[in-house]
Amino acid sequence: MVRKKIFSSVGEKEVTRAITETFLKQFSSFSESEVIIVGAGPSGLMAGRDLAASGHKVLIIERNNYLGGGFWIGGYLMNKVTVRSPGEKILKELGVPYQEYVKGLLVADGPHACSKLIAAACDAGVKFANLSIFDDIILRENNRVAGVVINWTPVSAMPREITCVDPIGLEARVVLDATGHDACVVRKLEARGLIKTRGFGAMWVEESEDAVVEYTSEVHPGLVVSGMAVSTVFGLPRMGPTFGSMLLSGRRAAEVISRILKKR
Amino acid sequence: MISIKYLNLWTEQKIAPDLVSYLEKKVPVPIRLARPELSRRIITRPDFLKQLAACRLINHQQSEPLNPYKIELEQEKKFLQENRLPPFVYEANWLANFYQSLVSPGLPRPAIVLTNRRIATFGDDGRYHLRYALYGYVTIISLSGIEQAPARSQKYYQLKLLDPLLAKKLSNDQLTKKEFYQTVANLFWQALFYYFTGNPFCENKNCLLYNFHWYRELKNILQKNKLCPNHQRLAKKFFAGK
Repeated sequence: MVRKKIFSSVGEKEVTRAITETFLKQFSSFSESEVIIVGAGPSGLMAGRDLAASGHKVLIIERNNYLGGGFWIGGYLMNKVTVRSPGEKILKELGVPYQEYVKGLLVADGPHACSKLIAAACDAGVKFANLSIFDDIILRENNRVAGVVINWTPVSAMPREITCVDPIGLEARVVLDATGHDACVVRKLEARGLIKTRGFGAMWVEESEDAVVEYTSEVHPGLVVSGMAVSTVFGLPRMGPTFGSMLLSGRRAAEVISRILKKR
Repeated sequence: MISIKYLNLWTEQKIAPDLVSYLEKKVPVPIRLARPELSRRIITRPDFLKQLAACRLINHQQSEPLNPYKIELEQEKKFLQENRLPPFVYEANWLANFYQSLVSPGLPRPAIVLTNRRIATFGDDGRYHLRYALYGYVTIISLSGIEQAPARSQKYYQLKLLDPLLAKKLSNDQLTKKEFYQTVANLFWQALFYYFTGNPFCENKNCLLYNFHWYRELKNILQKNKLCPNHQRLAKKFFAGK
C-alpha cells in the first residue's frame, strides 16, 4: 500500500545544509554587532527587546540551552513570578496575564511571562547564541570594551586535558553584562585590575529594587550592567524572588546603551 | 593669646537667611559667610564630584574611601543641582578632608562648613555612628545630623517599627525651628571652644557645650541655654569686647 505523504520530500542533506548554512550566515553576520548582551535572563531579554525594537543589531549570549534565566520560576522551585508596581506596565506591554495579590504586588505564571518575554525579544529581532559561554572580554584602546570571547558551553564542561578548544571573539560597540550575581563580564575586568566590584549585600527587597534600576549604567567604557549584576558591582542589597526591577533595569540599560551608541 | 577676627562660615547649599542672622546674634564673634556656596564649585568639577562620592559609606565595616563609578558622580551632581538630601551617609573625616581641599589652603580659622549631608564616624564599638558635628581644621556641622543623630527614647524606636509616621507624631523627640537654630548656634560655640582649647565639649550636662548623645540631653541643654560657670569664665577671656 502506498501511503500518502504528509510532509514535503526533503532529505537529511538538505536538513543539515539548512541548519549549518543559515546558522553560519547568521553567526557570521553577528561576529560584529552593535550590542552583545551576555545573559538571557529577564533584564538581558528586556534590554535586547527594547534595543532591537529601536533598530539596533543585538546578539544575546546564553550559556544554557534554554533562555529566560530564573524568570521561569518565581522562587523556591515554584513557578509563580512576582512583580512590584510599576512593573505591571511591562507585563501589559508583553501581554502577560497577571493578578494583583495585594496592592502593588502582581503575580503571573512564570512559564507564560518568560515565554512572552523571549518571544517579544525574538519578534523585535534579537538573535541568540545559546549553549555559548562567555569566556573573556575584548579590549581596545584605553581599555574600552569592544566585544566578547565565547566558547561552546559543553567545551567548558569537559576535562581540560581533552579539550584544547580555542574560543572565538565577537565584536560589539557596547557589551551588556546581564549575568546576574556572577557579573561574569565585570569580573573579567576586575581580574585585570580595571574595575573593583563591591559584592552584593543581604536581601532587602524594598531597598534593592529601586537601587538596581537607578544604578543601571555604564561602569566602564563600552560596558553596561543590568539586573543583579548591578548589585554585585555597586554593593547593593540582593532583592530575592521578584522581577520588576529586572525588567525595568533591562529597559534602563537599553536607554543607556542607545545614548552611548548615539554618541560614538 | 590666640585671637580671632572672624568665624569663617561655608555652606554647601544656600541656607535660610534667618539662620545666618540668628547665628550672628548668638555667636560671640562676627561671622564671615563665604560665597559662593560650595555646591556651585563642586558641580563644575568632576574631580570634586569624585572626591565627594568617595566619602560615601556603603557598608558597616568600610575602612577606605570608595572608588566611585560614573553614575555615582552623576548622582552627586544631581543632588547638588536639585538641592536634595542624598540618601547616603558620608564618612565625616574623609568629608572634612574634602571640604578642606575645597576651601583655600591658607584658610583663616576657625572655619565651619554647614552641610545637609548625614555624616558618621567609626566608633570604639567597631561600627559607624551618625554625628551632628565633627571638629577639626574645618568643622563640619550636619543639619540633618542634628535631627537624626541623637538617640531617641526606646518608645520612639518601638513605635517606629510599627508606624514611622505615628512614631514621629507621638514622640517628643522633635525640635522646633527655634530649638533647631539654637542647637546650630550651640555647635558654633563648641567649634569656637575647640579652636581655643582643643576641646569642644564640657562634661557638665547643663552646659551648652555638653556632648549630647540623647535627645533628652539636647532638650535639657536647650532649656538651660547657657554655659557652665567655668566656660562662662573662659568665654569672657576669649571673647572679651566681642
